[in-house]
Amino acid sequence: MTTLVDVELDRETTVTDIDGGMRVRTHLNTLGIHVGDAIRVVERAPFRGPVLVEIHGTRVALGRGVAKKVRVEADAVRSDRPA
Amino acid sequence: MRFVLTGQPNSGKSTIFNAVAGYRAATANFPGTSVTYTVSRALILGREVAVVDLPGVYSLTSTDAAEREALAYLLEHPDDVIINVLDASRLGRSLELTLQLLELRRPMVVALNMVDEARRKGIEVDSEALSRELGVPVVPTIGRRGAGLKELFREAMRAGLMEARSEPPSYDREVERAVGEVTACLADQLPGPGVPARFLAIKLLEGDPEIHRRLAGRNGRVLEIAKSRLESEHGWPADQVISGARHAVAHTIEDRVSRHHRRKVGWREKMDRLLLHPVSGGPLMVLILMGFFYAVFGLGKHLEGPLVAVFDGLAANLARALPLETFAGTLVNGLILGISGGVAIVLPYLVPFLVGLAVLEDTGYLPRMAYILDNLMHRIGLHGKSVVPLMLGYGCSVPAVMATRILESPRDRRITTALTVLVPCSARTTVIYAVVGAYMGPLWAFGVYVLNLAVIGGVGVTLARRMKGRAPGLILEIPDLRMPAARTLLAKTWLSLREFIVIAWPLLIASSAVLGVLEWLHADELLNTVLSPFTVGLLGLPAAVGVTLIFGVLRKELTVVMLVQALGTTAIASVLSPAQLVTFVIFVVFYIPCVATIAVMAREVGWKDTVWIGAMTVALATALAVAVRLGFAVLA
Repeated sequence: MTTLVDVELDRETTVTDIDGGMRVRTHLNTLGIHVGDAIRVVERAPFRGPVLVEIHGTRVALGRGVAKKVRVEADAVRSDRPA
Repeated sequence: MRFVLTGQPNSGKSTIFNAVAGYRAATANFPGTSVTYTVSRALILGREVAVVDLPGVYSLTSTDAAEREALAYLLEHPDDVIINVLDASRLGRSLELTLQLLELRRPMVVALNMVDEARRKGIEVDSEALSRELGVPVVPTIGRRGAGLKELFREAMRAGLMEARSEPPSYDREVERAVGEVTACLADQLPGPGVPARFLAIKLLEGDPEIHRRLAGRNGRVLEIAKSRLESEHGWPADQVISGARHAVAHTIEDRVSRHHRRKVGWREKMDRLLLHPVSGGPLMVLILMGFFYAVFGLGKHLEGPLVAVFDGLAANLARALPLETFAGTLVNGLILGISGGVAIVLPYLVPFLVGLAVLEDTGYLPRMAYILDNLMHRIGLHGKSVVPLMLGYGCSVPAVMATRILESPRDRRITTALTVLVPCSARTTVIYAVVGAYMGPLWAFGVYVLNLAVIGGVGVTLARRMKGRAPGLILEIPDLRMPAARTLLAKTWLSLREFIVIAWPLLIASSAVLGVLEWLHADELLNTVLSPFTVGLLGLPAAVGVTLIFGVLRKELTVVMLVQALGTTAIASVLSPAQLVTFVIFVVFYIPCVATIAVMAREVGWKDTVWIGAMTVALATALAVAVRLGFAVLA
């Protein structure tokens, strides 16, 4: 299972599942992060710091604990495309 | 007629509000600047109207303080015309709030704001098509330049006069069925006029805690049945189904009305890469902050010297005309020292400092600091969001304590509040610069800040270990970098400065005069004698500082101004030794927050926390000041 913590940087991915309680889910939803959305990890801070993601043209910082709860799948359509 | 500005955080509501109402609301380039609502009268198209600036909310579900406030306001004021401010560059997400507002069936107008930013990011939005999709007028605006605002308010006024009603959007069949069932049983128990049952039904299905508490009791069965069917049909919890349905509608509308071009990679994107880069981010932050403090110090020093000379000359002349031994002489001398304290000591440091802080806020650097420092804050037991109130604390503790509302967990709020009041606010910065900085050099002043940071870290770790209920972690939007507009910077500086001139300065002058009278009556000596076991015995300071510390509780700047007066000279270093200067400043930086901060803390976290935080600061200040005194004694 890949999460935002261990997926490749700059890879187009899709959110497949959001773990965690209703509060975390609601909070992620309000910032535009839902199951089925395209998401991309832009940067990861060193020393287990937060993860910076881009979603719908907006950048959101997620702490490691939160990022671990967002499961993603690398986008088949995009990664199959010739470079 | 009353207009209520609503929108998601950082969509530019407050900028629009300030453009029509004069500069009254706080703005900054980070989410959650307004935590409470602001009302102002404004003259629009020749009519006097009220304009309300609600706190920015991502959604109308009452999960945090700002959302509860916004939702409560909207439910209690059914006659207001809603002006929904959208960020055109984040249309899909912004529309999720719009869809909830449409459910309220009110007169409503949409401001399609920041169209310039959107264009820069390669997004064109067709406002007429959007208006057709939503069924309400849509006006493109650029709040920062005031473009489109006249048209926006003209449309809003028209909607208000016509008593137009917005039409709720429709969702997929399963959701509509569940909503319909819950709506039907709510019809006869609405909390007030102008709150549609359908709106409440959706909120109940979403599990909104506030609405649930008020309405779920009698409708529990119907609600549970509708919810569980929805969950089995979609395979997700009901709150996710509703929010997913809204998300789908919002993004369908976005796709229909906007076109995306290739985003240009400009200087902002390149700079952002450097600022947030794993290697360069941290060092750049240290450089930016050091540059900031050195610039403030350098400017202040240049301004202070000439101003002090002018007032010293004036005081000397006055002393010849009105001898200090007479009552009038003492009083006038006190007044002059109060005025000069404000002009010559406080303003030279305060003005550059406020401008600098406004730059950090408006460029959007603060949330980036939250990102970079998240890791460090986790070591303390908090997370990156706490950085925002802590940084604001360098300006003034009052808005900083209020900004702790952006934190989700009560535990994080309590700890951050305690730490925020330890951050040297601009008043204490003045004391640091004007005493330690001016007489011992910028490195010493810098040392005070480093010590302060270390103490905040230590206190943070201690408190975090003792309190339970850790928040899940950082979830924070990082807005695009923005070039701050000179007009906003000046307006913002003026907003804080006006506070100083109108409230603090009269207090400085009056206190100075009161101290003059106390001196004339020799009552200050009595107070100083009472305090001398502490000030002289424990801290090794002259007895004369006793009174200044009492006045300092009103405003921290008072300690310097009063020190000048109590010692009878602006050349503080001729009376106090370096050890005494540092001991005095350390004590003033840490001891009890000022009256205004105490009042706002009592409101935000309650008296119990306020009392222990106050007691902790005094204990901390005493311990540190004694340590400094002993340290100097050992080194000497």
